[in-house]
Amino acid sequence: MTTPTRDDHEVIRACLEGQQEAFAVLVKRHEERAFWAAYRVLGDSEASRDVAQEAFVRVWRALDRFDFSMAFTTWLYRITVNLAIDHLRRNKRHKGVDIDVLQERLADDSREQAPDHNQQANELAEAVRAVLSTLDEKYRTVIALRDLEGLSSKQISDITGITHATVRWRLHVARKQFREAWDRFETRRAKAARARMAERDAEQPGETATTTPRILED
Amino acid sequence: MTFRRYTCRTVRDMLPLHVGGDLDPKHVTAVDEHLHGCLSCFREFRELATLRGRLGVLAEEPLPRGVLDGFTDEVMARIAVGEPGPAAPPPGRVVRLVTLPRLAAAAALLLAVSLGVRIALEGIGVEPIKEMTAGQPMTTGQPIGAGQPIAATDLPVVERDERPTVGWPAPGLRSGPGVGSEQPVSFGAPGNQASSLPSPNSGLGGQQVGRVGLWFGELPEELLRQAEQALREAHGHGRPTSIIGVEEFDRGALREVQRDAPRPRRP
Repeated sequence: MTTPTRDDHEVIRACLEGQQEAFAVLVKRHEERAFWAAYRVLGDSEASRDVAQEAFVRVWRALDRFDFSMAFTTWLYRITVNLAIDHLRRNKRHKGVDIDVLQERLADDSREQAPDHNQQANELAEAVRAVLSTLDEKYRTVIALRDLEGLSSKQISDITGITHATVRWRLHVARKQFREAWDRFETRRAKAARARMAERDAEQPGETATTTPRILED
Repeated sequence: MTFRRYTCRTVRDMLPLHVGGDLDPKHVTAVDEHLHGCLSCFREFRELATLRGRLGVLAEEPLPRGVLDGFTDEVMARIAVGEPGPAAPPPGRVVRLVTLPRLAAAAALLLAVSLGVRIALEGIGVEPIKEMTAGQPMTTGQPIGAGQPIAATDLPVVERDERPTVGWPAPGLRSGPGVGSEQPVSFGAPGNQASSLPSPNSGLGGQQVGRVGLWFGELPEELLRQAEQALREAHGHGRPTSIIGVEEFDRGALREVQRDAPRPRRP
């Protein structure tokens, strides 16, 4: 038999009655969700942790204004995502992973022995994150909430405070832009790999016949 | 059943939404129908689906190691050290941007009081007051609306045409109708205009300036210190008072300043 867990609304009511420790339950229950919501937008774990913490503090401050007709998670998402966007705006220079740097690294890795599955997955994740970070924040937010967090466009509308139609329009633009950015990334990556290959062939002319086919296969 | 046939261009425009299941249901069947019969559009759809699958790599990422260690404890510690919460008394009123005229009046008040600036009135046609001519005793006046926030619009107003050219007609501030109010407003009690604010004959020196019936003059250090202390207490946070902070100025704090002001000498 499992201990019945109090739902979020019950915990919030307990907090409002003065049980400060009940808030810890709420934080523990949703800390991961808040972290991911920030991370999808920011792509930086340190900053995301800070933003998630700040979100919970804001939640605490405004708990007496919580609207019990809505889910706590929607409210938490709203606060977290807004804080993450604010953080992005304050740090305009931060663009996540730099695509050029990433291409260099991926090209360097390709010279070495074949990476294992985990490394490949990490590289792909890093590449996707880099491409995603080139999107404007408003598009990045909707695509992150929809395709990474799996929220419905109605929920995204509630969280971001924009209309359902606007959410769908931004989603449409975001996916198109992501595709274009990914194509550009692939093109540059292929071009960089070809340049490196030519450079290496020039350095070691005797090995051209053996190296070229292998790299082309990659 | 017949479906409206869409062109390739229309369908391709809908594919970014269709690939995520976000397309309006009324278009779904027609787009699917088109995809079954159009290879190039289907390829486009497949490519978008692959790309969306790549995004899924991020969704499956494990939590970075240790990133949430001690997270809850830190949040609770922040709350414990004084973050105002639902059970706590409501936080101080948020300082909002005030309108320009109010801000200007507030800035003038603070600057004049804190710096003790003497403002020459010749330029605006008001003679500086050297001595009191009439001598009713100064008493601690009833502060207007004690406990209510004071706004620049509440400040007493002296009509220019009622103002004497020389001297002060009565102790304290002589006030005309308040802005937006039919009742006379003064720092002292309405009617007798008595006030405990330093008056021109208090030996401290002072002048009434312009249309706004403020007393500007040199305040002693001790009074300034008390005024600052009272303002800080009025804010409740121990924060220094800013110009915008005048919005939060409490009449109670003003009363404190008034009560502790040096009493004028009787003639």
